[in-house]
Amino acid sequence: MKKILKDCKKGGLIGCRNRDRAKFMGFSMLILLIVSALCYLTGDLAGMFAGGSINVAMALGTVIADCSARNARTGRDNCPKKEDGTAGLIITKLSATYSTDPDTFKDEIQAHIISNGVDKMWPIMNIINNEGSGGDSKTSDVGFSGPKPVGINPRGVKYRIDAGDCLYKELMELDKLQVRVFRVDQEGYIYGTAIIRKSGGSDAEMFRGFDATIKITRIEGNGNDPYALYIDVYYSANYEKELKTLHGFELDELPEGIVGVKLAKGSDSGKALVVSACSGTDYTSIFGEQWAATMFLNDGGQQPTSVTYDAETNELTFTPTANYRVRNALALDEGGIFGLDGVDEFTSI
Amino acid sequence: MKIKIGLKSIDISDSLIKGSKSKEAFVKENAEVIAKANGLDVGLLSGKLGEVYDLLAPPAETKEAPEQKKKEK
Repeated sequence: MKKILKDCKKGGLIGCRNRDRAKFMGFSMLILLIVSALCYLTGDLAGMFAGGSINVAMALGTVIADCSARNARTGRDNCPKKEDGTAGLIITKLSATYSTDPDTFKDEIQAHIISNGVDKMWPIMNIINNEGSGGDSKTSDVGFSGPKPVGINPRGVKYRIDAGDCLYKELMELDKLQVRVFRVDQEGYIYGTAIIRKSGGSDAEMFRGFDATIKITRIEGNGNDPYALYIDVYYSANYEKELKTLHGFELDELPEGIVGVKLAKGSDSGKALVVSACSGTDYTSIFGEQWAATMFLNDGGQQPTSVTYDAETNELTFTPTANYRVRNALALDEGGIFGLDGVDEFTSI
Repeated sequence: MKIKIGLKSIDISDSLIKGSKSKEAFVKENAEVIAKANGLDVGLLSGKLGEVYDLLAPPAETKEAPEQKKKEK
């Protein structure tokens, strides 16, 4: 056999005799079969066709589909909470996250409402009706079998707010924005979604609203139907996933939004009223003696020397006379006035 | 700092008090203006402003301390 190989290698198969050629071919086939069997046993098909190299390409990459971790505990609690009709919404910026701890969340909610930072909240209460669409099972007929569920149809809810054109004008600042939305139901429970975020090198559970885009609409009254103000919330494609990590708890009280206020001239020089910037509603007497010099600035950025609240006339008196404005919600809150926010408008007092 | 006189609640800017040179200067500069704007008696308001100054202004020793140190040197 060695000789045959030697001879045939020298001149190739052309120079071999027929008998030797047959023997050489048989031997070659035997070698090929042994190599194929080895490649098959190692699972390396590429190696089989490439003639030898092992562990190439086919073992790279994984598509993880592990259903073994799923465990549905389908028992019913004694008092299962069921989300009720929405009584209010709290709008936040897309990146805003909050504590999942109910006490911490409730302690900080007022600060978030008056804040101008990334965690700012815009509460919208007095929702009197919800008209939802979508959110139901979405199926597909494509393929050889019958319909199969492929997710849910996009969820959108039209919330009707019991308010007027002043709120409409304020809400238009949020019109068509992608935001996050917490729902507050009629039982006073707040609903959002929980996520895991890195915090100080470790994982922390955070609470945030549902990803959504909002649209503000108003329909003026006519002979049959009254005025209507709507906030349309279009939940994102993430909605079903966000519902899987639903998080909610009871609020002690429903948060209220803040009202933009400015100064209006009073009955005489140096006298003024604090009124809402939109409707002119007078807030001076509501907060009375709580008004302080630190809550106002003149057009040079200076506080007045003194501000006097007169309980008889319900007016404020400023010294010296100048152009003044009401400071922002943070400054008012420091003085014990919550719910108002000065607009950037000076009034000659 | 608030002063209550009758139905009027007067809030005096704290920074104004802390920034004034002396009690007398503070009272003299502000009592007449504030009293006139609010229809109050200047004498009554001057007394109240003096009380407020005593509560809020830094102690006299602190203000005099740098001068005393200079004299000692």
